[in-house]
Amino acid sequence: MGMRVRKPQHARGGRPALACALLALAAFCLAGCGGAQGAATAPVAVPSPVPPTVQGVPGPSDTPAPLESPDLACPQLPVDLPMSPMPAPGSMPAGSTMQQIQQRGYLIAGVDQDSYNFGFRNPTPGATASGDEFVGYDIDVLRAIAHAIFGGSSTDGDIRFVPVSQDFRMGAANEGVVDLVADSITVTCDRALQVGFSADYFNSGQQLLVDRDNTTADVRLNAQNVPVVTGLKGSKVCTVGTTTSIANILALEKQGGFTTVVAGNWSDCLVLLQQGDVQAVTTDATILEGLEAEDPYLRLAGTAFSVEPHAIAVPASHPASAQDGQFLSFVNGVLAGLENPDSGAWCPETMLSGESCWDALYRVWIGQQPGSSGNATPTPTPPPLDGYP
Amino acid sequence: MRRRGTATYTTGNVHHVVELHRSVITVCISRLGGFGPGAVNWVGRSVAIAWARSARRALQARTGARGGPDPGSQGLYELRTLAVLGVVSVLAVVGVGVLTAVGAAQRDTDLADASATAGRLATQQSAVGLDIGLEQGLISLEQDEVQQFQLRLDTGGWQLSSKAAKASQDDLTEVDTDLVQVTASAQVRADASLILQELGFYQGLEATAQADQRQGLPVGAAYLREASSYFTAHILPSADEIRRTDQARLDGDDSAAGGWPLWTGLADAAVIAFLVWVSVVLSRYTRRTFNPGAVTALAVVLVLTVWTVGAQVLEHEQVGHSVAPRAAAAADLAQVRVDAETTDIDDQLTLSDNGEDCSFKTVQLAKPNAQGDSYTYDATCTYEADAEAMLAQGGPLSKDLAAAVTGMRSSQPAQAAQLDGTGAAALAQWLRAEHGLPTLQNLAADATANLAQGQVPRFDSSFLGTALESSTQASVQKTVSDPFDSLTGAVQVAAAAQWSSYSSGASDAGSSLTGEVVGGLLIGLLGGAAAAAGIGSRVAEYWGRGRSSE
Repeated sequence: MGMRVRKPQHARGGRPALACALLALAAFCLAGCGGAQGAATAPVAVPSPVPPTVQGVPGPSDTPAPLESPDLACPQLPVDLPMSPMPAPGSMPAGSTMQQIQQRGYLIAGVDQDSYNFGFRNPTPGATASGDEFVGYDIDVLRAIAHAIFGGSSTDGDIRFVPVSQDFRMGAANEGVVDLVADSITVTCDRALQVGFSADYFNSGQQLLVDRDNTTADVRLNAQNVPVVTGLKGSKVCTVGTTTSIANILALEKQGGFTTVVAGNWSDCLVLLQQGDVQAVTTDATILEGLEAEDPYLRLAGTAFSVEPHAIAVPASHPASAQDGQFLSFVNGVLAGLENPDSGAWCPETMLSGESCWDALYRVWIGQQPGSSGNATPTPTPPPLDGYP
Repeated sequence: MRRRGTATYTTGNVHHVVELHRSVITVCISRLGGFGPGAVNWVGRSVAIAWARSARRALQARTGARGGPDPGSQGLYELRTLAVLGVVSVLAVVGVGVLTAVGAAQRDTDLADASATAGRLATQQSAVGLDIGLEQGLISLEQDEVQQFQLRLDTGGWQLSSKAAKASQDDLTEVDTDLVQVTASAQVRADASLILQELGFYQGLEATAQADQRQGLPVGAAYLREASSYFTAHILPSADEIRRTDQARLDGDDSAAGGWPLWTGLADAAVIAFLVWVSVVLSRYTRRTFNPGAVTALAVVLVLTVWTVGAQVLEHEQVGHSVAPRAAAAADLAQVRVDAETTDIDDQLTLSDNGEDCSFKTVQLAKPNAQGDSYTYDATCTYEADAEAMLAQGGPLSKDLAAAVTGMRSSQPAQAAQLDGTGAAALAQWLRAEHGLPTLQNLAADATANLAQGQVPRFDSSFLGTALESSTQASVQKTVSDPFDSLTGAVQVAAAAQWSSYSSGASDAGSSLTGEVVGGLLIGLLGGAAAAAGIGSRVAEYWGRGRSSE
């Protein structure tokens, strides 16, 4: 038989001993486990790509106005008639801006670099005979002006191109950075306060560019000649700030039930359209046709709902603070030569029989674009040079 | 071998066990006394005498002589108490040894980790270096694309497309390799995984840009811009997060290696207190005679504590004064490099973007200004503005450079002075070159300055020779590569020196822990054996008394 063990009520070293022992063991445990660190793996979430430079355009929309020619009868828009007779190339009048340019040796021109067909960088300059860095309708007009100053067969050597953004067009001319800007600039009275405008050399109108699959988007003129947008309710329409397009589309926002977003330039709008972030792009049809030519899965929708006369901008406010009427008259003289099939003026593109240089430029850059919807656009009549529409 | 006071009760196995322990300890103590100086000899004899007295009292208690305790339930309870105290004492002392060894090993591992991380940083393979390596990989990816894009623009090199695609793929593979190297941190893994997923989208944009560009479509440039925007908005922040995480890991390793041994100290204190208490309890059982095993264990733990605290205090001082400051200085230098790389990206994008990132604000004046202008223009190009903000005097880059120089000054004053001079000169040169880059922002600023002096910019020869010339003539296009190379080269040399010094300091700190792992373990075992022998003799004594009373 084994011993019976009875625990005394007040035995010395009983429970305190066990407690101390456990405390010591607990200290080890804490010491041993103190450095352990748990690591939780956070879930990985890929953020959605955010389109660059996109923002909503706040502010109330105006009531759409009937389509009519812009009121350009403002005092800051004098019509400088084409110079006649034109000075011979290489013999510019003494003291004129043209002579200063001639003495400098090259024309400094502000141009767009991503407006397909009007002004863009040549992706294969080495593969072309001229090796031109910039090409397009506006570029050819600038080459004609450079030829009129320097003579010879104008190449990029006569022109220094300054790529300008849509925002920078006015500033480049106004601050005297460039001699002129050819960048699909729409003539307005407000802009005429900042720069001098040549005669109207190209007329266009604002339209919509949408996916070819989008068969409902449309814009039509009603009986009062007021544009009506359909098929874009709840959609987003992209345009570029500091253009005349934005005011026109904002006026239609409420009626059409869409939202306007602003991008940095037209190519950015095209990226947004291709990625489905916007459902339409709007601006001059000439620019939209260039975008359409870049992407055959797009189409121009509806009719034009504005009149956009395009002109070349020249510095107006340099220290002289006055229109350089002589230079503008010279530029208008070059434009007149382009429009006259019998002028014998030098043309950057090969002219077909009976064509003017203006016709040839239109045919080459606008009239027969691969990928554009419909057949070749018939060449319109050039705008008159004695005033604005 | 027997001494005076040896127990004369010799019943069964108990006798032999007690006899064995007593003999061994007596021999050990007598030898300690024999070989040691007088004081030690005195201690040895005292402990031997105490042991003998303890044994005699145990004998008296067992035989009932001199009024010993009644061998009944009280004795059994004391037996159990002694057994528990003995087991816990042994575990505690051995545990202290193990804890000391583990703590030393952990600190040594922390130092080794820190050194390894420093090594990677020094060779730019991982951590901060990973970020730089990653950024460089992505930057080169970006640069390749930009350069190929530009080449295609300039030369129309259709044949370059496949080469560009291959270069991009190589860079991506390199980036993937860099990312795979970092798997230690969950956060880093998450960031790396995020980057890899984001790279997919980035590649898609890039491929679209290439495809468009091959067809001569200007929209390709817009896709390149979007890719660049996505790169800077999403991928670079993730890469920066990896750098910060690894930097934090490095700091954590340094802190753990150089921190005070709090838990070890607390455990040592707790065990010392426990052993003191055990000795007191045992002495009450043996008429105020301390148990030699418990006393020995206590002495062992005290020695171990002194050794541990001393070594780790020394290591703490070395880490605090020699290692951590190097890591901080190297981190500052790494930040300078990141700043420089980021600015370089902005410059590359500025050059490739041709002003498409620029906005131009027109403000109509109430009345024409002195120059007759009715409008003022404020041009801002995003990438150029970012680069100039980074490079500006008092800007982030100069501040980070100053912090790095300050961090180096105490340890390597000559190199700090050299970096200070080289870096400041490079920064000033870079900022000047930045203003000459062909951006609309710089062009507009120059034009405004010309107008203010009454000059028509386009007819001013000085204007034509600067921003306008570089804007319109690709052949004279300016770059900022020289100051960039100068700055990053100087920083690279300084960082390598810091990491080398860091590794050396970490090695010195680690040497203070030499032997603590094995020594702590052996001493703990020795102390545990002493406790087992000393308290075990008492347990055996009670056990034998219990058996004899049956």
